[in-house]
Amino acid sequence: VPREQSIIYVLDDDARVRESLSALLSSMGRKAVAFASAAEYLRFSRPDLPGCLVLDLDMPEMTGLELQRELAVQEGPPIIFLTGHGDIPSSVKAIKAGAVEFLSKPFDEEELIRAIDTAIAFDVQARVKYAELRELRRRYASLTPRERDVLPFVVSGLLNKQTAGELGTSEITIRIHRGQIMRKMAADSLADLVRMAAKLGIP
Amino acid sequence: MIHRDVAQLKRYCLAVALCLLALPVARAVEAPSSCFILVVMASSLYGGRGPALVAVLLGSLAFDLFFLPPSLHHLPTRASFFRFGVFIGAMLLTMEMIERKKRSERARLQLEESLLRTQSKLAKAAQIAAVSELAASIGHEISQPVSAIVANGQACLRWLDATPPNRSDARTAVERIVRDGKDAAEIVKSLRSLFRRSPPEKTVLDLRTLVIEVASLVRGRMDSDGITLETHFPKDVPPVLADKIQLQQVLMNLLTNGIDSMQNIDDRAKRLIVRARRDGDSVLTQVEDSGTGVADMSAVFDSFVTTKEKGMGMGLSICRSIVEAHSGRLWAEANPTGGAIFLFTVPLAEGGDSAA
Repeated sequence: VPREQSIIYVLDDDARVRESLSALLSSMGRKAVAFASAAEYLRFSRPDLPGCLVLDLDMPEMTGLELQRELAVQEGPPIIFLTGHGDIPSSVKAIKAGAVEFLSKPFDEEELIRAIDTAIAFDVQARVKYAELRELRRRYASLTPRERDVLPFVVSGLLNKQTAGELGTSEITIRIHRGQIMRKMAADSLADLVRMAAKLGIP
Repeated sequence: MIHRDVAQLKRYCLAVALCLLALPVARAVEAPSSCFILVVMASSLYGGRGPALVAVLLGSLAFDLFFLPPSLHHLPTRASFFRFGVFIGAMLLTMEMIERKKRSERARLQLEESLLRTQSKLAKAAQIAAVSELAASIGHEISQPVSAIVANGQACLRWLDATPPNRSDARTAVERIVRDGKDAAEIVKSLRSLFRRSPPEKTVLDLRTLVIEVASLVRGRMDSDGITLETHFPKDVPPVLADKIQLQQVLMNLLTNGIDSMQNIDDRAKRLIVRARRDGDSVLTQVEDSGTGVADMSAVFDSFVTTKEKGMGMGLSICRSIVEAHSGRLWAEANPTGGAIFLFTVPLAEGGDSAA
């Protein structure tokens, strides 16, 4: 990924740290956006670019760990934590909750850049997965309710005749539904359809 | 060890001497029972169980030989046995009562001492906890501007290295470095004022009372280590003008140091001597021990210099700063008879307002 096409979010309540981090990143030719609070960051509509969040652990109001929990449910960028204390319990918590790196202040330039690049590489992969999933969900949404009923039987390997028996309808109807499902989901084969169903969490 | 044996022998001699003294007295006043019970009481009180038993034995012998009518020796009667038995019983009971009293007193002292030790341990633990918490928060306060300075400096270097150099952004970065550096300096300055010792609250104090008060706090340790404390205070030692708590801290420190230095001494008597005398317009107090002594008489006052296994090396440096805040002096000398002498001066109370 070219560096210009990624974005780094900096979230620290201390203006000095915020400023200096933005300055350092922009001197390296990286795009950085800084926020003073979690609320400010959450309000911001992020551009559709791979990125990462450099997050201060010890902030008032909403701490870094709280924000991390909040973001875990969204498709947020990977997190790098910065802390002035660097105590072990909170670093363990942060890493367990999925933080990429945990740096203590004052941090080393090299260390920071390495962490940022790792995080962005993660995000690129994650974004591919997110996009794929979004597309699958869109296709699944285009199925009729009856087709959604039929899908689990098809992917669990039942024959058309068996599925018809289960749903109390004729084999020919099931064959038509099945054809529609394959077309709408854009599946090349039954194996392909099974993979898609697994990604969507359909048994 | 030899020391202890001599002392023990002295106690037995005391018991025997008292018995010998009691014999003529008892004959003169014709009150043998009371006299010998008195002897047993005194032996038990000043000598312990062994000397008391000796006194009981000698007393019974004397009673039997000198105070029973001669006729009874040849023809013992029930009554004479009874009298003799009552006499021995009374003496043994007296001895036992005194021993018990002494034991319970010892137990009480030990309890008090262990309480005191726990208290001081707790105080130390609390102090350490407070210090580490303080250090953590100082670390955080300082790490913010410092990390900003580092990042701005690195950004500045990159801008200067660029072709063409980005001078305006580099300048902004340097301005921020200067600003954040001042911030950090401000934090350091406010820390210094936090740690500056508050000026002593001076009152008129009697050094003798102060020494006795402090000595009572370490009495338990001295007793269990077999250390004797002597205080030499001439009548004319005038009162001083000082902060009571701070001066107590100094005395406590010097006494504890003396006690600690004598821990492993067994070839000479363990003696702690506190002397005071007038010296110009101040009072000179000296604490002498017969311990291991001090190798470097001036280094001991530096912070973090210690000869103790578990010491922090802060005690004497704090003591010196306290004494100096009282416009006095604290120094050490070698004790010619082995050990060390610590001496300090504090100004006199009379006309002492000039010192305050």
